[in-house]
Amino acid sequence: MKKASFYDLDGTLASMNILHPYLFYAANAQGIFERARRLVTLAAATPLYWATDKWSRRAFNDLFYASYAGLSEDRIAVLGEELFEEVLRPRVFPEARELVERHSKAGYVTAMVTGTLDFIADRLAAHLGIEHVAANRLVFRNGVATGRVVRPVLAGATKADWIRRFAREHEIDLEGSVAFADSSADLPILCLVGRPHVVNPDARLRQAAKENGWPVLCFGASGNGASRRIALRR
Amino acid sequence: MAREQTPEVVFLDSKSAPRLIPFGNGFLRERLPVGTRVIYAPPPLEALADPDAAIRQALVRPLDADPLHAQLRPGMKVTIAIDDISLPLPPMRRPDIRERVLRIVLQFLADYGVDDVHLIIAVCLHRRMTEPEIRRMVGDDIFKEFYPDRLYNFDAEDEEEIVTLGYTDHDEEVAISRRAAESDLLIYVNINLVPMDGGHKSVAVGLAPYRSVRHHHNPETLLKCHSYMDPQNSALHRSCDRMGAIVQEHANVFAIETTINNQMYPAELDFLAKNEDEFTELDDLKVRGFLWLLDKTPPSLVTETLRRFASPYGMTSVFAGKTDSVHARALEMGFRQYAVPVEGQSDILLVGVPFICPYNVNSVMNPVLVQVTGLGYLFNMYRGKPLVRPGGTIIICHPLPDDFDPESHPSYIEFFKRCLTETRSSFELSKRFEEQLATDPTYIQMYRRGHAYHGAHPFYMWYWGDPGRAHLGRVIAAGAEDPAVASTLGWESAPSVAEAIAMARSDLGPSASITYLHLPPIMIADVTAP
Repeated sequence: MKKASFYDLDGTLASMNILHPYLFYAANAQGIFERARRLVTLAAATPLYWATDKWSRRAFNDLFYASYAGLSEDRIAVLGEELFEEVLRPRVFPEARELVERHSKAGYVTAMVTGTLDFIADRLAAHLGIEHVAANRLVFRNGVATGRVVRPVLAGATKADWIRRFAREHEIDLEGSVAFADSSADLPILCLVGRPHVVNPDARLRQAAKENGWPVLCFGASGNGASRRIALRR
Repeated sequence: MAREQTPEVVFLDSKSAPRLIPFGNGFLRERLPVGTRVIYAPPPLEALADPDAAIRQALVRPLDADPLHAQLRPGMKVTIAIDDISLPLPPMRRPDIRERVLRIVLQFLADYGVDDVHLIIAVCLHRRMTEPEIRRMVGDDIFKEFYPDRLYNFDAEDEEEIVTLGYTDHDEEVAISRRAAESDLLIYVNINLVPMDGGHKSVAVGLAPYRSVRHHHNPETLLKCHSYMDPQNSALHRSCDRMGAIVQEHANVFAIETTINNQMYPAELDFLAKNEDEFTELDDLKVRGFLWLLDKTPPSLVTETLRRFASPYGMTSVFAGKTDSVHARALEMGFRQYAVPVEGQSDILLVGVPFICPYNVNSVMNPVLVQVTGLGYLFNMYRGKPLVRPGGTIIICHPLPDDFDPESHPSYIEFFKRCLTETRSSFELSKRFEEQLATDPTYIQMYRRGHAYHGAHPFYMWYWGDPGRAHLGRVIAAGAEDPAVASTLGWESAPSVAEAIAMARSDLGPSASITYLHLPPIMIADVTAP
């Protein structure tokens, strides 16, 4: 049986969330009024998004991706390269690339399982050398985003479903596999593998890691190199 | 067990006061059975009045080597390796001795036009020190000038920066930092806290990768150490000496070893090192107040306060020059501070494990570390014979919570929860699991980029306890909160010291003799036959 290494993306491999790419698209929408409309709507809806995310990551993804409604597939593709170079690539944690490389070299099958959208995840996975990607996909009609995502929406438990299916299809030993995530919304995937790890965890996940004895990795500026509490002695 | 009373060796009678016993973040105050032998640390040696002058003197009049200045020339490549945060314990008040020595050595180098200077913290497989820790150790000026390009942690997993120098006649691979090996001069700045430190162990271990360290940090070698604190009778040190000889064939090593006194506590806490029968009323008041405060303060605040504690150690000597010559003198000074003559072994050895050990500075004292402190360090605080007889019992006082730091000790968690639950045999652990965790991609990542101990480190901590386990009949954890933790370590548990003693005596007899090692401050018992 093979072993796999599963990675969440936002906050785990890169210092980003699903807001960043959309902000880029909204700021680069065609026409000044369209730009203004998208940015103002985004700002106005932020409290709603925040509250929804607290309640359910899946509902949040559903709600947030509705913002993409009206963006053309062509425009998303045309701006994709720029989005990657300007927004996404600088946000990738330097340690993340090494981590993936180390697992690849050690013979792990690598897979990114993320709630972010496929055109973002695919580029980042290629950049990081991750072989397999599971990400959400927008539904397009006549080349224009409808604001809905292909079901099932990948988040929490559905990510775990994908991993189970992937493990069956690729003969992966989940007990010997590893997973990396940053949010308590990803507890279902962490609980699925034999060796879960958390990266820059939120408070709830940090507590879960402490209770379960999961290693805590700190990447980027918020990593333990910079933030670790150190006693200042006399 | 002879009953000669000295200031450091005290026998309790019915009028004796209760004894303070380190117990994790606090202390127990226990009335021990009549006849218990209590061993105290000797008083602190006088610190050097002018340590900077002593350092300069050592550099210009080294032992069996040319003076430092005579070895310098413009354009040469110099590497200075420094002991890491595991020494001394607790960390000392500023300025750290390393800062003092570095300031003077760097001035020498600058005066002689030596610009190509790197400072490497010899962490071996320990965790990388953080920026604030490094700054505190070397001082603000050196930190600003050298960090991070020319002052950094050694990286045992950076293959490009490691070079194999050769093999000993025991086929031990000697690999060390490439920068250190390829320098025209390698200066090692050490702090000798205990006689186990220093000598060839500094370079051959501190700057070595896993593939080299595994030759002596293994069950076979460690079982032949009697004890770690007696380098003459330690297979570990013999291996380091063999490796050191290879290092010296390739590198010009200039060793600087320093010793400190055992002034671990400031004046307001000096009662912790005292014979309790000699407490004044003020001491007694201080003890009561101290214990009350520890009891009433929230545990997290106690932990935080203890982490901020710094010892007022004083430097007692400094030697520079050829490694063997320097180390011999440093050892002599170390034993002058620590040695306590003791006659005869006892049936039961009682020790208290404090909040700190070399591997949890600014972190958590997990059960594997309690194990290495009790069986690896405290049991080994002897020369000659162990303080406890073969087949005797050790009582280790610690609350032993199931608590781990997932950033510093991630591999410890897997070691404790998975490996140790399958086998406690060091040979089995070594064969079945050591390489697996040592080469685990995540643990390597966390060691190199985070502040985690190497994946092999918990195994070494376990092997370190082997001589103790082989010698003893029983290990009883007194005051253990969770008997399951003690059981995973292969220990029995008792809710209190009195019950632990009763358990030990049920096996060894009602008059089984007891020795309580009143430590810290550190002492080393020179145990002879009665």
